[in-house]
Amino acid sequence: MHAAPFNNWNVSYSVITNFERALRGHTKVKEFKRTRDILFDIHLTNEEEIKVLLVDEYTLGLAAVHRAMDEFPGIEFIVTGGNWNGYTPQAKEWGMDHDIGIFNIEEFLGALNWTEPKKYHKKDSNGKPMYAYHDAT
Amino acid sequence: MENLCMLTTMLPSSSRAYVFGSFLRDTVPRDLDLLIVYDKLFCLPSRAYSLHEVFVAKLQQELQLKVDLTLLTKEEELSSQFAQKTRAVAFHEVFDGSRNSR
Repeated sequence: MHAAPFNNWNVSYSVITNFERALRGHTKVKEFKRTRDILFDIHLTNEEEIKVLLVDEYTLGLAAVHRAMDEFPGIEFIVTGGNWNGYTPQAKEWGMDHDIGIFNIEEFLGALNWTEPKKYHKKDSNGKPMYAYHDAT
Repeated sequence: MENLCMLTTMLPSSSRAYVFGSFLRDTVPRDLDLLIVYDKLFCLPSRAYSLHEVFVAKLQQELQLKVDLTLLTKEEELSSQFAQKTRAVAFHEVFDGSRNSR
């Protein structure tokens, strides 16, 4: 029997606890506070504070990004949890244009190591940016 | 239970609904995974959830199941091939009105 999540984004307790565990083990995270079940205020070791919304969308699209911004004003990052989650190129691009970091969990943990986390991206063997796009390729 | 296909008249113009996930396989599904592909010309992404809210609420009420909604623009669906990858089935094929069966 699965317990119903305490949020209307269908983010399960296991996704939340996995994220919390990853944050606790991250060298750049000083402390964090979770409110409204899925909203994280993260205090970094460089004394910056960031607001992160954790969702669990297999493919995070533009509509979900807008909904997140409406329901959680002031968020700076939207992180989609789960092993295979990603986002559409359109959602990522909207985020870049509006200074909102759109990442999956693996990327977000990498981004915390960057001086400007919102600009983080992985690189392929040729140094080209790689994103967790859910696309046809 | 009324003809669920009739509910699609509540959708904004050009929006198309699809069902995917465990609802198509399980005898007693826990929820219904719903994909709605919408047209940005008729529905801005910033209003997409609110404009599809009535349809989703009515569907939840009729099925007595939680609906887990994914909303994508036509362009997003095209680039992600979400429907193909998740083997989504058109809403009207799942709820054909006469049977409301899977």
